[in-house]
Amino acid sequence: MQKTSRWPNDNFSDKYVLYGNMLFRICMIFLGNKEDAEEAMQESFIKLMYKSPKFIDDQHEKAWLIRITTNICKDMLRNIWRKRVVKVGEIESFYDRPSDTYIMEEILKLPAKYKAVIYLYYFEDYSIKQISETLGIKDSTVKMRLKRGRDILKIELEGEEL
Amino acid sequence: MKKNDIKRVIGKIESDKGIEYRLSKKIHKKQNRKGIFMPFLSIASIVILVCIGILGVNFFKKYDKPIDNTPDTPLHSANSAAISIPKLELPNSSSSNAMFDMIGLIVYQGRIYTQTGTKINPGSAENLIEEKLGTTKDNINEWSKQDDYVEFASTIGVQDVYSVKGYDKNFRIMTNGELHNAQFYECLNGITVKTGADIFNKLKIENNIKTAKYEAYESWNYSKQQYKEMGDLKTLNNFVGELKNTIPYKQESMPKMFEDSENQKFIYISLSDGSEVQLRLFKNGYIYYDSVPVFLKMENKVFNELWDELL
Repeated sequence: MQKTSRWPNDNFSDKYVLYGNMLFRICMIFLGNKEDAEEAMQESFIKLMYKSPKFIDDQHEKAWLIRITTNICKDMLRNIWRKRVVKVGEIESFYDRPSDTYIMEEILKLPAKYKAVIYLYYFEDYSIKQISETLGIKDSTVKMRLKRGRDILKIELEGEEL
Repeated sequence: MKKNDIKRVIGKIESDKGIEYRLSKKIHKKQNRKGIFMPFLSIASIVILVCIGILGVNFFKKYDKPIDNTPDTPLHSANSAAISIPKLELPNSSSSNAMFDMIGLIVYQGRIYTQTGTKINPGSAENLIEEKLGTTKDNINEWSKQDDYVEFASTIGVQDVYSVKGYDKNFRIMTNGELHNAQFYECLNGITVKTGADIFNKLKIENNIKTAKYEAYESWNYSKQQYKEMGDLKTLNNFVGELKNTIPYKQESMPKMFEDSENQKFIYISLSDGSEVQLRLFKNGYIYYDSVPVFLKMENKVFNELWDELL
């Protein structure tokens, strides 16, 4: 993707190219609508650009960003959980097939704490250890959340150990 | 469902240029505002300080006596009468934008119990189990009709549900998953909160503390898990003893509380029975428990003694 230098903040544009889609996916999975997702992304990027620690490498930066974004989403869920809406129409707009919409709706229904684990394991192809390090939770907790999430979603094991 | 289905479906969610553009503008605006206003703020601060200084000198010249040290007024002048937390209503499937909550919940005896931040320490779950109440159904989604909210309807899959030793089952129930992942579910809706006793007495913290630790906001927010153990529990015990006398304020009447990130601390209190209660503290004496939509205000002296210890 080309760098969007016409926009006011070049550093932001670089980071958006790197992480925009990833953060949007995480926020949509947690929050279920674009408006809240955008608000959470804004906070994540502000933290990345103004309040982040010095990163060892790109992986460190990515892991940090995933962790703070899931925390931001969880905090938003805590604050607004009674007002939050999943906008079915917005979800449908990403898909051509009703079966895909159905799968995403099933993911959206997961309890919040399983979502990050499911996302990292199945989308980012992270190992249990990587998820544990990224989210700062124990291996056993990752395994449990993965198992629960998989049970709820009825995901076939396909030769996996867990 | 196959794992590739998950990957494909998540991959189809993509942000658009509109989001990038709006975020870019907002972040740029924030950066500029900071740059533009900082000098003015500095000048304004000096002017205010000078004014305070002049007024202060005149005040003391006029009265020449100590100012009455009355207790601080609440941060926000919200209504502090008894607060009714409405019974959690499940979504109405007839609405055009179907709503549902993504938190884990269980329906039991007409009440809705939601996942709580209070944890069960590994190895303690077996000791907390009292009696099996039933098994959850995995049947709640955004299209559920009111008729679907039958006994043990849930969003958590199929799990056995138990009452918890030492706790009122009208307030707390639990599941006991594999790999030490037991979970409490609490019903703190459909209740009236006159004082902190209506919430904190249910948690059975008083005279029951085994250990405690705390965490600064920075650590909590970035999941750094930089906990500090609390060695001397005397101040904490005083604080816990005072929880029942706290006064409730509606969360919605104090909308800025969560935004004030610098003035928050978290304490984690491990109880003798193996449960761990998390309380979120806000400077000026406010306490928040889990997702209960009230802030509970404590008398300043007791609160501040604990607050000052959490360095």
